[in-house]
Amino acid sequence: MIIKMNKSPIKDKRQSVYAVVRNLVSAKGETKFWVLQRITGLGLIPLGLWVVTSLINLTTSDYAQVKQCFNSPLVSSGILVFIGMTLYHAYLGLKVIYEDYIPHLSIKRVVLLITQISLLTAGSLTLWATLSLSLSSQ
Amino acid sequence: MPYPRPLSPHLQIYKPQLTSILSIIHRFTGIALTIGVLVFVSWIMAIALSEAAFMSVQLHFKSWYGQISLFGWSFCFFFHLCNGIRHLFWDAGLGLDLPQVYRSGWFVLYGSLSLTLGTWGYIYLR
Repeated sequence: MIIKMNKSPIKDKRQSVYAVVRNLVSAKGETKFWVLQRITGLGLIPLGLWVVTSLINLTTSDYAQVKQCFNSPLVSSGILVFIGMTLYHAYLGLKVIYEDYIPHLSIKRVVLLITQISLLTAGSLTLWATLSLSLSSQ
Repeated sequence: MPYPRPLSPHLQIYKPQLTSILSIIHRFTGIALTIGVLVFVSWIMAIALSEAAFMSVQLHFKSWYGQISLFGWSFCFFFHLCNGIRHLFWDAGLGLDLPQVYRSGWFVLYGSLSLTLGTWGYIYLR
């Protein structure tokens, strides 16, 4: 098996193998993210189908009709849950892709940080939009 | 990620197979859908902002590049959905024999293509 290694993870020869492996992360804590990726994926099956079929049905609607949809608290909170789950699912997926394909550690960290900021911004903007839509339509 | 991890071997040493191609498409559709959800968020924001903002966003969606992008995103959605379900079956330990993997792979590919074409047929012909 070919393993491409930029640098040896062993910096200090006095480190035990366990200490090195533990610093590669994953042995314990990362399983949680694997499970969360599956749970969000499972939840996004009905939520995604609901959003996409609603969008298909809205293709012939005008502004007032589209805005009307957000009057229902069920729709607003549904959209919020959908966006939240999607952004988290996307974050976990992108993180795995970065881990696999970005060799340089500092670039990996910067890209991950940009991803986190963008996704969090999108999440907060959705929160703002759904809140202002449900409050303005009282 | 405190230390560099071992990376995958170079992709070009592999012969293309249905299994690997679908795996790559799954990742690409995931990336495309991330961009798609950001566009969806801006659409919701436009609704919240004003009618003028909404109309200008709708104009982009109705343009040729908007329609092509939406077509692409709809395929990405259906593919990622079908292949995601396939992945969940694997995670449950089901359908892992090689003939089953190939059968479900073709099913996902043709299924997502027909769902995409069906959706656009419905939008344009209704």
